[in-house]
Amino acid sequence: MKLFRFLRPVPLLALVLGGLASGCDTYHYYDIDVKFMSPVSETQVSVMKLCLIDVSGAASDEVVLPCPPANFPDMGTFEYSTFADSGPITFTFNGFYEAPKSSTNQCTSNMTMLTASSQITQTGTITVSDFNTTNCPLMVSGSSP
Amino acid sequence: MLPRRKRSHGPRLGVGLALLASILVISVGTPWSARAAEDNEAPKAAVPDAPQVEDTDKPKDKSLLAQTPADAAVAKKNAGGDEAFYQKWQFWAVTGGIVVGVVALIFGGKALYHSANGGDVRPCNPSFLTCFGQGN
Repeated sequence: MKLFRFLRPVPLLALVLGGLASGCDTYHYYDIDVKFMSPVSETQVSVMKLCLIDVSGAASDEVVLPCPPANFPDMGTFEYSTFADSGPITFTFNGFYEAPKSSTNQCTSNMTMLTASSQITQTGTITVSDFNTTNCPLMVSGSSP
Repeated sequence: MLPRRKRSHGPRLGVGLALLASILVISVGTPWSARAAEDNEAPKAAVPDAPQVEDTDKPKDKSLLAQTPADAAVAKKNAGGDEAFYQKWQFWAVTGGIVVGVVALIFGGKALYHSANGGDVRPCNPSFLTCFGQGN
């Protein structure tokens, strides 16, 4: 019918939209727990003023965590979301004595690697087990003689 | 005394009618009466010419000029054709359809695009230190 001629492109439009929808992305979540382990002490952890999580591999990102950590030895869990569903994905915890970050004031660096897959949520743990006291000296309290 | 007889007009009326019929027959049937009728006709040359603007093709039969149902339908159709486009319901139906379609396409397209790009990221667990990455 002449009146409904404008409806003719509808099937084509539906086909295009369906094609767009077929290539949709799905979020994948990585819940990573950061823990400190001996010989790293709570005193050492408390001197860090900048805590960063660096994401590399299948995804790339960086985020700042609350620092110094409020909880010890389990700092807590962060969640990272990405569309990546294949390949290795690495989470690295970097602690710095102060900002800006540099190799000369880095206190610690530990990582965990997971393999991205179709699994929606994966969990992992970063265990911080080393501490550079040269770059990050302990704060000395009390008066000098 | 004898009752008075009712007078009848029947014989007199019959005689009158017969007399009238005889006069008519005589006046129509005799040749001199026909001649007189011809003599009374006006000469053909005396008939005035029809004006040039007169439609000589106009049929004499009045029934041919009377409107038929088909003429009424055509007249009605022509009357409808004089409507402006915005006075036709089809115009508003198509316009409404286009407006609704465009609005649906915009909102549907946005929803589809959002869904195709992963939709909403799930809410962050309050017990987590932070949530970051795509969708956050």
